Amino acid sequence: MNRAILITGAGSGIGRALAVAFAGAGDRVALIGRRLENLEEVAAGLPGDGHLCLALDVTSENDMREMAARCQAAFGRIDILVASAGIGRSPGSERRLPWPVHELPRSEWQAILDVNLTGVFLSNRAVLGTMAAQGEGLIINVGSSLTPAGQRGRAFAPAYSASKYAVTGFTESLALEVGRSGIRVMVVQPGVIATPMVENTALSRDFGGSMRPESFAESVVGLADLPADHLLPDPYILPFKPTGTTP
Amino acid sequence: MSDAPDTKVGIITGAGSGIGLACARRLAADGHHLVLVEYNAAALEACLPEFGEQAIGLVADVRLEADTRQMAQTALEQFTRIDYLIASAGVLRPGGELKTVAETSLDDWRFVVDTNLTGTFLSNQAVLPAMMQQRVGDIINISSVSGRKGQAFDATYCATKFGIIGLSESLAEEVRNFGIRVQTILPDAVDTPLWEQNGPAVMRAPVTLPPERIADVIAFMLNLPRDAYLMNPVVGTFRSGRRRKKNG
Repeated sequence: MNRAILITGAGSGIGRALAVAFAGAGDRVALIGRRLENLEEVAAGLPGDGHLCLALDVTSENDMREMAARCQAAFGRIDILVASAGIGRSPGSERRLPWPVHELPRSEWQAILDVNLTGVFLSNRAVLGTMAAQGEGLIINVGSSLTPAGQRGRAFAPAYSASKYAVTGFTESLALEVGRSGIRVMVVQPGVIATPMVENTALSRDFGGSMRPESFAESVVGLADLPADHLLPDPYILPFKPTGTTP
Repeated sequence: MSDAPDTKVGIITGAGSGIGLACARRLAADGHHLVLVEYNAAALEACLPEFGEQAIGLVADVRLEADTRQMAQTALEQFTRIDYLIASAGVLRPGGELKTVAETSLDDWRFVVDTNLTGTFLSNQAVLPAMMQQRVGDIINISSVSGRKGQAFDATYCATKFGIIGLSESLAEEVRNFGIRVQTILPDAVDTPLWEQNGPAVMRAPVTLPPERIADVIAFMLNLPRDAYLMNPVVGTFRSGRRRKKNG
């Protein structure tokens, strides 16, 4: 469709699958992530050309300004931002067991909130000027459904749960704020997806398996393709008759 | 992906108007074979010719078990399988007059509950044997944003739309191991004849969605990859300030 799509967290997992799906639909994709080598590896496998790799950090205000400026310069516009950068534990954490609240270090709490919540705020804020000037745009934030029944708190995932609830609240506020400028803002709530982050976890067992990242990504592209006079504000995309990692 | 053949077979209740008719048009355009179920014989007669050989019509009342059984049987006899059911038969209120709970007669209550909730139960139940045998199928039930939040003068309607979510979530758990995917859509105000049941010039939403939009989302839900489903998606209107100005 030749839209200009920005995807944060594009180096792996959900973000990577989203990049493949949007590029497959004929869009130009800017892949945003911390490690350039991961982004370039994803970009090398994308159909089409004109894609962009930007090694930038969603927790940095300057980086997110740079993201918007460089995409604007390269594409001339920004049609869709998918804020999919997210973490379940701090980068480089050696700890295998999840933290209970009474032991959770402030630094771990902060690291998760910085990426999952502040990263959404900063990446969203960075594209608003361009989208408002265009009079249209779509922001898709990636929340989470931590249970098969939807967004709920989850034992031993206090920072992650808090951050994803907060993304929903932020998204609802922003949607009401910028709708008048023609900018649609939604949050998609994925159930468990077969990515390295959740493989072999209790979460996967609760859902009885997981959906393929490609299926989630295809569903998000389908939502982005729907006409712009309506909006699914917070759809849950959950695994059905889970197939694990086998297609 | 689905093991269904290319030409899908669908049943749509309430197909004579509103969301049901929009779905019929949308899915007929995809080449599907359809059984169009409608209570109002005149409405069905009016729309049926546009579908030609692709659809057959059935005048039926979703409140009656014999009718919903006939509905499933008709699909199997004519098209040999049932890939999906869209249970869109629904009413807002009888009599074209707003009523509080205190003023609602038991007959009025039953009319709405029987059509919206029992009709969804019976039409869902009717297609299950065929879908369980096929080990694949899709059911789309129609709730509403009124299935999440009650509002004054709409108690009966809201009760049925809350109920449809409960019914659908329970059924979904029961039949997922048979490959039957049950999804429920929660539209915001849609521009359909349902509003006329409010009587003249009262309580029409300021911004409504064309029923074709709901049909688009339903088609999207039917076509999702088989390992994914949407849980109770709300479909809201979106109209930017700028566009509103342009439209006067």
